Amino acid sequence: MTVYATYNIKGGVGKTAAAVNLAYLSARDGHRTLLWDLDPQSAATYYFRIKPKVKGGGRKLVRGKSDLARRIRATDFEGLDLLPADFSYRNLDLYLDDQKKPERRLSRLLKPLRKEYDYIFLDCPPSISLVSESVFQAADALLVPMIPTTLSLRTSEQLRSHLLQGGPRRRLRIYPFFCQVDRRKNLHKSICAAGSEMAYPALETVIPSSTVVEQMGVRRKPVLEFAARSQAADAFRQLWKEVQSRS
Amino acid sequence: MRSGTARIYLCSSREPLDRLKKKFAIRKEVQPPERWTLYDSFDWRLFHAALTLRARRENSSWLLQLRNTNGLVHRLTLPRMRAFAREFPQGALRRRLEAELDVRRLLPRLRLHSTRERLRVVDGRRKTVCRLQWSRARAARAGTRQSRQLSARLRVEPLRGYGKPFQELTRFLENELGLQPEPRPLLEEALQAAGLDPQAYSSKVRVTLEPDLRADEAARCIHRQLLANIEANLEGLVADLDPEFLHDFRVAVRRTRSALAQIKGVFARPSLRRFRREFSWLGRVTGPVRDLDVYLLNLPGYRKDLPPDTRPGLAPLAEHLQRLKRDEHRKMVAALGSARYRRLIRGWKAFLSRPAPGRTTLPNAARPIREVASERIWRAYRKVIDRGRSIDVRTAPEKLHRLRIDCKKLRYLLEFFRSLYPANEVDRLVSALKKLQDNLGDYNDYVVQQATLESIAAEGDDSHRLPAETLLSVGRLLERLARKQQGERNRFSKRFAVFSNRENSATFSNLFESR
Repeated sequence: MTVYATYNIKGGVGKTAAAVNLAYLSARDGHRTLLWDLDPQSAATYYFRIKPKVKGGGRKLVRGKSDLARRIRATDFEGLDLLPADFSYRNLDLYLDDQKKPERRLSRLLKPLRKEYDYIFLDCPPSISLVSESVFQAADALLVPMIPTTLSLRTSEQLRSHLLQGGPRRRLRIYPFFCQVDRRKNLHKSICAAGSEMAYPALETVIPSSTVVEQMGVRRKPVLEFAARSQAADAFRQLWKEVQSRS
Repeated sequence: MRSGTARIYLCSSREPLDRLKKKFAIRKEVQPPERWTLYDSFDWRLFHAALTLRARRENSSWLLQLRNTNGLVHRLTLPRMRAFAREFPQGALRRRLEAELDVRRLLPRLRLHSTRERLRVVDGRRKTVCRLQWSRARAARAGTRQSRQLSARLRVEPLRGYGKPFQELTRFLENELGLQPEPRPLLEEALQAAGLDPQAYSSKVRVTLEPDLRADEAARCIHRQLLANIEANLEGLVADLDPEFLHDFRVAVRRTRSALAQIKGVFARPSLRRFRREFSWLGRVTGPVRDLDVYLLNLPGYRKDLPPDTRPGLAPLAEHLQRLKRDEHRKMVAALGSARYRRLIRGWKAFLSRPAPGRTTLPNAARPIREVASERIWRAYRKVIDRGRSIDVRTAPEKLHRLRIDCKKLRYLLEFFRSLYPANEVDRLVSALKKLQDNLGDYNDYVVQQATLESIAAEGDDSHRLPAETLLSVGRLLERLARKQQGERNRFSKRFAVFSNRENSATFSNLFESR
């Protein structure tokens, strides 16, 4: 089992779009795939038309009191399951703080699912918190979507210093990639070009700024399902290939 | 991906679907018809391992699925279908197939043509909460045109986390619409409709005998089954589909010869003499091809045994063996197509279907089979023990060879008459004997392989002379084989001691010795 987490300190950069479409592609390749929507805004859950509700809420889940496996729901796509978001996830930090070794919590919760899934995607809320700490421990790789602006480059730097803070940790791969890229903007072009020189070198794939990605909220489906021939769909396919070839 | 098990109902018309639509919110998906071909070996190895391998053409490639009773295990897309497990690309599917099929060829066995309608039950968010599939299929034996209609089925598939809608739906189907669950898997129905029975063939002897059946009748029973196996393998070995056809054919012939010789005093002398002579001929004409098959099967192992720099030298040897095999195979096919073969089989069939004579002067013919069987097994066992005890480190190889033959005779007798004795005890003896036989068999194989390799290396007319590097590789090979032979020889006394231990000899004596 490989765990990917889409993560960025900033919000609204395309974490959920990436998680939903990559998880969809993984399932379509025949891999048993689970997407865990950790964001209380529950966008991923919404895209799959699933009720954003977890029986017992985040507190019971974190305590290990409710059976994670029984909260999982099948999506409309074969091989792709979802662990829905719940509004109580906004307090996930507090719940984690009650636990011993809170940063290990998530990976312990995922342990029983190892045999059931080939790939698990974690769609994380923006911020640096105990939740993200826990995600860093559980994930094999972080997929970090970034809009090519000066600010986002700073975030990359922040992430790096944060990750280095805790001293040596187990090998966590970091794959930043640019999204919502507008090729007509000179700034976007020049920042993308410098992607390989960032603190963590960016992936080669670039997700273009596109209306079909925005339409996901209206269609409530992965882009690859309703606009398979679009540029954005191609970009996600390429991204999935690149991520897999790196792992 | 747990989601509970699907439920399947018989549903011959569309009417229940229409009534379902009035009660639940349903979306329909058009599904193109599918044509699958089911692949398995001649002896249904995948089926017996609870696996199905199915393939279908999609555009210009082949889509393969390996399934077990829980669903899909592996899938793969290939530019063309493969015949042997070893030809598949490296990976999990290949490993699985190699483990089950070994050297057997995948044959198309069954064609399934199905038209399907997929329905989704959705909730207020238009999220799918349950899936249905109404399918009608036809099945045909691969290579034939006549297909048979199978029962139309409605499959209801639960989705994980949506147990309630599933229950609601199935309750409605059962209670309101009165649909009947269909416990029989589609595959089973399809095989039957196509007239295929995976249980029909086995290379093992499977006769059930009554203890007081007349011995000559019992012998005929055994022979009839062996004859069926001879005939079942003929087509495959003539076409050289895989080496197992010839192997099973030869085993059945050898068992026939052994039964003729070992079940004494049940058949009249002139017939006996004729059939023993003819089956011996059959063994002889099929021998050379089998020997070459064994070589070709062993070659990859030989390669691994050799130091890497001498490996390429073996390639001309492989080609040479292939050439020899083609020649020998042609000769064998001619023999099996001859009037002599036809006469033998026709005559043997007639002989086996003849009723036993009311009065007979043959000593064992009218005796109960259990008595005769016990006598024969006991004698064969004593022979193995006596000969085995006389073997020590100085004994000549021929004597081990003779012991190997004695063991084989005993083994066949135990297998022929298994149904007359407590099965678990006979099985235990057989497996003890098998370990000894493996040792003797390997020893003998190494002896024979050395001799044959030497003669192959020595012969070679001017047109087919093997290159010097090949002869060098063969020389290395001979050294290895000699070492392995010695290894088996060293293990013999221990193996024999285990076989002839007190426990086994007590069981032999209890079951077979007359008092």
